[in-house]
Amino acid sequence: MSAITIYQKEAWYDLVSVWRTPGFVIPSLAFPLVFYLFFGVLFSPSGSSSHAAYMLVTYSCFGIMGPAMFNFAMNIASERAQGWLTLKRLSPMPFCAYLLAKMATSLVFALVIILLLFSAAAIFGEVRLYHSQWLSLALLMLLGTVPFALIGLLLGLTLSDKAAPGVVNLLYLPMAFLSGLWVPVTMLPQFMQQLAWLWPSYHLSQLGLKLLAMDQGHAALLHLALLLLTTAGLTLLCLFVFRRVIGAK
Amino acid sequence: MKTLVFIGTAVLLALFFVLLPQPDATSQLKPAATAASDVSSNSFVLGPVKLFDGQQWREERYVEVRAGRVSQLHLDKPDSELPLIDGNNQWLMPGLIDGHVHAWGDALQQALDFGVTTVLDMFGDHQFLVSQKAARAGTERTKQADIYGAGTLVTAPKGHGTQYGIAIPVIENPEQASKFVSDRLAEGSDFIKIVYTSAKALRRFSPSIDLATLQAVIAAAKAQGVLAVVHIADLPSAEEAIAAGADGLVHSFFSEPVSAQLLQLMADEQRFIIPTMTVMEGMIVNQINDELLLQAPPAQLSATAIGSLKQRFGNFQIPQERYQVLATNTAKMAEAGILLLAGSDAPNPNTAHGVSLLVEMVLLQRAGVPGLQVLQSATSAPAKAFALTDVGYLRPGYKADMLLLSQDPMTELTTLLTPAAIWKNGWLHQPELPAKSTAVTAGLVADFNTGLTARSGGFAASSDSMVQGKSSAEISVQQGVLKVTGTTRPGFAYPWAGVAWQTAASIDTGSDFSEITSIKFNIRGTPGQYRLDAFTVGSWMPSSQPFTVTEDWQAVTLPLAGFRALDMSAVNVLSWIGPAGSFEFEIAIIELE
Repeated sequence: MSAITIYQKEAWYDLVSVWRTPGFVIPSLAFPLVFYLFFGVLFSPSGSSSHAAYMLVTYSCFGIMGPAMFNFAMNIASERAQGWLTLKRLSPMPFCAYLLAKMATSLVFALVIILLLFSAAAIFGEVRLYHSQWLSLALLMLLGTVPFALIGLLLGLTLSDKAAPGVVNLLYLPMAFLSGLWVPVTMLPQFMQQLAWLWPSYHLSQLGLKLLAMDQGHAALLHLALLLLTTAGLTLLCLFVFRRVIGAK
Repeated sequence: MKTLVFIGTAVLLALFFVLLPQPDATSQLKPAATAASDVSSNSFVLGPVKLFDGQQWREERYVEVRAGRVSQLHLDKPDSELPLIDGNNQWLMPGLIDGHVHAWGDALQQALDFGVTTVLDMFGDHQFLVSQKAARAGTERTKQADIYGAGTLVTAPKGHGTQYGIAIPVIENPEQASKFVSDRLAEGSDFIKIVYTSAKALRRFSPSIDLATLQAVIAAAKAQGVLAVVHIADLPSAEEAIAAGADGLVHSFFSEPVSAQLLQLMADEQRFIIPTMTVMEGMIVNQINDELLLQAPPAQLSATAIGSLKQRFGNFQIPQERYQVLATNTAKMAEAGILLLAGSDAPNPNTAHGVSLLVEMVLLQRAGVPGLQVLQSATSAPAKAFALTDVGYLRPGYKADMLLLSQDPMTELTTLLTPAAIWKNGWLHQPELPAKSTAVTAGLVADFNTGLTARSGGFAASSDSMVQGKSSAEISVQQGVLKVTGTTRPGFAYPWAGVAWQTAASIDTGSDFSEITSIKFNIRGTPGQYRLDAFTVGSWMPSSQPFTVTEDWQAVTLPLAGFRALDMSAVNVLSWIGPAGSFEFEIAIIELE
């Protein structure tokens, strides 16, 4: 069995196992779509298509965050509790494959959510973008799942399987709100707008909005740098925590 | 199999992205800089430009406009969700303010077509002024310049201002001043304009209020919190008006050189003057319009406006040197630091709305006023003088009334005649080009076999009854003959009665007769001396040719060259005018050759 096949099989089975959990699939796909249709399309001021375009970016961001965080945090926490993690560690499979498989699953979910939201935006929101804008937005959002996957990983490694869902929600929903993913960040009170700078989701959404020339006007490089910095920091933290979890065994 | 599924998925994904809808051309979601004409809103960023803010040239290169007002000036391109209009490093300045006009009809449209975004009316219908006030307060899309005005002026019985055939209230003594001013303010006047000629003046053209009344009216205006500006035509009147506390003079004078005392007083007390050199150039020299405008008229200039620019004052017999007196006075005032305002006095003879303000600026510059002061004279100077808070500057809070110029106005002022773009209230303004006259070809004009039908335009009875004269005319058509019955009676300066052929659908365009050499028609009627009058667009004085009519049918051919000084490119009316007294004549078959 070649190394590639191992990665493929692990990714496939991770996807299948998640896919066969409708309790995860349906909410994580339906949540952003329903929210977008409500706040981006139905309740948009006088059916403005620019509002629908703005909200498409923020709800795409909101949509891809969910599966990345939940898939990592909940599954790793529960697999850790069930001893799966130990088993995987002992098997000849490279542990990397385990993480990459989870990442692949998150990406598939992210892609499906992007397809759903883009369709809704094009059909119901009358959003019209250039091909380059549609495509780069999709790619940005796929790449943007990385920091959230890392957050999920961090939580999965530290929390118990019972605590994980609650804590993820506690982080996910306020972060989305404070980053201006539900209502435009400019409509938030001034101090909340300043808090937005803390969250990777704010920077990701601003980068996405920049593609549509609807961002707040800060430099793209600044957002990118902060996003990469956050990602690097999370990676280091994950490595550190991972070593400790392994060491504790 | 797996590969197939994989490829299938990839193809479906690619298809999905290809099928996602694209914006059409009018979409606003354009990331790159666009041409001004592509932005259909009054919120945008414009730059990079070289920026004159009404007072001085600025470091800032970008103007941010929100909802029709300047919101901010930026050194560098701001990151903004607003569309970016490419300024191409051209020159940007505030829309121009004409400090002296008389506006009615489509004057405000004509002004805006030349980048004059605000006018100060120095005597006009107060109801017209009031009807325009709502527009100037906001930043709605408009085709008109903003107007601030004096409404009805303050003059003596039979004084200057009463000669236009419109009954206006007049003032007789100082005791009426307070009531007179408050009446004007109640009508909607923004400031008070007074006509004054001193008892010491060398020439008095019409009756004037006396000095005591002038002082009382100025005092009343001050007490009621508005500006008082004074129309003068000579030095003593100017001195007395300024001494009486007038905020500004709305004309300069060429009667004599300006005195040192007047210069000193006006500079010290920050009074302003609107020299209106253009209208005086028309009284004395009569060259500037030919030089700047009429050899190659700007596209926006309508035939009516050209007519007004060509119009002459009656022969005043003013020696040519007097213009130099005016120019020297203007230069001295500029040097003394007196606030100069550019004003055209349109639509007086030798002027037209909008375009003549640019002529005025050129005349100011030629008189020796420095370039920066010339630009200020049509922007910040009128804003300062009349305490306008919305216009005159490109600074945060002011209206985005702007001109984009393709050349540096400091070195090439005439670039103002062809601005690259005009914004009014932040909306890009596309000047309406006047309709061109269509060429008329030789052939039949009308044979009256099918009623009054003409090849173009139409026929109508014409007599001086339309200008309160006593003549009359009627027309009828039967079997190929146009019958005209009328009476020419004295009662108007130039009595007439007959039939008029309006050569095109619009009297404002007329027809181009350049291809035509003569007009031929069959006519009979009351014997006598008849005439054919030809009118051109924008002129009410015809050029005439006489011909004789007998009781028998005869063919008359008149060469068009026989019409003296007729502009063949825009002939709008030809009139067959009967002899004095009662007459009756018939015309058949009118042809052009």
